[in-house]
Amino acid sequence: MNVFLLGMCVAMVIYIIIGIVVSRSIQGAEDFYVAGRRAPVILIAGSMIASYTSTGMFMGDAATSYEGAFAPLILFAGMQSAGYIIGAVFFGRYLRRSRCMTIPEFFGQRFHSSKMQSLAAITAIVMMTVYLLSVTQGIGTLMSLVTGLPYNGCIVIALLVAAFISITSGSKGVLITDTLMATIFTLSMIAGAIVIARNVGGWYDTLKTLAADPATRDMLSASGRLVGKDGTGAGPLGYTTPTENIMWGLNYGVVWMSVCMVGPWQSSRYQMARNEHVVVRSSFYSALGVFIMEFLTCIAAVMVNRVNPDLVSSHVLLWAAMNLMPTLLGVILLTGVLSAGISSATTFLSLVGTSFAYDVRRVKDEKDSIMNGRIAMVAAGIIVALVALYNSPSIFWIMFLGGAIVAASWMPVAVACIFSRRVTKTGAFAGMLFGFLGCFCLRLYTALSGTSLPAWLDPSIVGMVLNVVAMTIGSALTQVTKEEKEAREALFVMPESEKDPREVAKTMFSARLSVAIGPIVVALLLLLWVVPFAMAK
Amino acid sequence: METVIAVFIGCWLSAAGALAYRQMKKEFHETGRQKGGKKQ
Repeated sequence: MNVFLLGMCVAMVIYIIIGIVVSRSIQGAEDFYVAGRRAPVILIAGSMIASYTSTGMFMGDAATSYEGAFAPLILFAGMQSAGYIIGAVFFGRYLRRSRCMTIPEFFGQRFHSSKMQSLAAITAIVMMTVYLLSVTQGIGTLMSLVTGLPYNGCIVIALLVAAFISITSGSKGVLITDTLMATIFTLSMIAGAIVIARNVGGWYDTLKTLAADPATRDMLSASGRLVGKDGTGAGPLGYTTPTENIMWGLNYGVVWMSVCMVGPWQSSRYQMARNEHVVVRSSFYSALGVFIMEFLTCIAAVMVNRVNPDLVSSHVLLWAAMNLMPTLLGVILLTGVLSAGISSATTFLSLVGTSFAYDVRRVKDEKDSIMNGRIAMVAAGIIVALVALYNSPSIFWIMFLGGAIVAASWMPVAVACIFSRRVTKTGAFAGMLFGFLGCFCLRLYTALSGTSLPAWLDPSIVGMVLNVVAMTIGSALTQVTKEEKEAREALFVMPESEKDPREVAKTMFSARLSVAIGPIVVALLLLLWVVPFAMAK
Repeated sequence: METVIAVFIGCWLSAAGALAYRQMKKEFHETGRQKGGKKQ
């Protein structure tokens, strides 16, 4: 048996066993949907990192970086990490405080509107299904490449494992397996990047060599590559000027910061936290962890160009794991990448089930609710499997569509529902609907017609603008009701249990650490990218 | 230009951290004052 296949089989069996064990401790809907609201910092941060890092990063971002868009990707990765810090303090704590089971329920409760809850649930199901498709295609590509099994079979196996964990153990199992998976692929990626660097000629020497060669210099420059690898056409992001590439980085930095702030597969973790202090403290680790993972993935992919510039770009890290690393580390890294994909898939499936049962069907009976959620997970898994089987993989762009929908439909409404006194349910509903439709329809139009839009007219930006405009007009035409006013005011009443001075002191220390994250990241970037690049001049 | 990007990312992250720290300080300070007021 192929050693990589063996490693993946062992990992999947372990995750299934954990799913079975955890399923025995599920005692009700709160355990199933929000892990009993007892999770400590390590499980929340672990699950946040695991839900973010998926095959989309290891294969999609790595591929785009390998093709030459390293700097725009790092710009977006750095900006998005701020979303964890801002999101925890300005959204996550209030979400946790509301004691809602789901984020759509939070919107519904805030505006006293079942329509708002349903709309939020439907948009959540669409964005998570889209993202699940990207992850599934990534897992299929990875497994078929390293094991030699057929792509279609790999997709079915991966979805079966993810569905099994989500269906049996709910959020509780997902939190535990997520943290385990995050640990495996974080450690293996750190070791992997060091070993790849050593085996392609050393970190500094490789970056200096790539930067000194006019053919590869732009891969590491601030603008990124502006032509295809064969010297013709546009660069990997589809643009031909430095301004457009940097605009792309800034644009998606804001979009993905929104995802990290309010995206359902990220902020839903806060509902599972033991208390609000856990929400704030976990954000520092999530922000730093995700940035480091993005940086190592992208820089390792660039370095592979020195020894093999002709790979299928999405296979770059898979090839590196199989050819530039000792077998054991390669197996661990690839198992880690698979784990990253499965952990994201379990999160998406679990949230699709929760949103369907709790927010769309609104089943009151706990057992019926869990059963409905499980049926929805199976249905979502089958739909994604069918779409993935009949469409060629496009991991990077499908993943970015999922993020764009979050930013366009949820972000402005999520911020306004907490910090605006004037937003009404009509305004919030209109904002979310127009933001979603604007982004989704424009993206669909560009995909079907083959049109490419300028960087500043990205569907996510159009969607966000439409969201704000519709929310403003809708709120201006209607009045805030007494219930809406009271629901908002209730969010600002801090529970007595959160006022323990010792807990407050620890949380304030963590908040101070968050300020220090900037210098840490600058030092990392200067030392491991900017200095070797400048030395080649 | 690469240095500008690195420094920009750092400033962006620190600004987010400072905003979060300010909000937490404000809320816990207000909570502390309210508690003190009740005791009096």
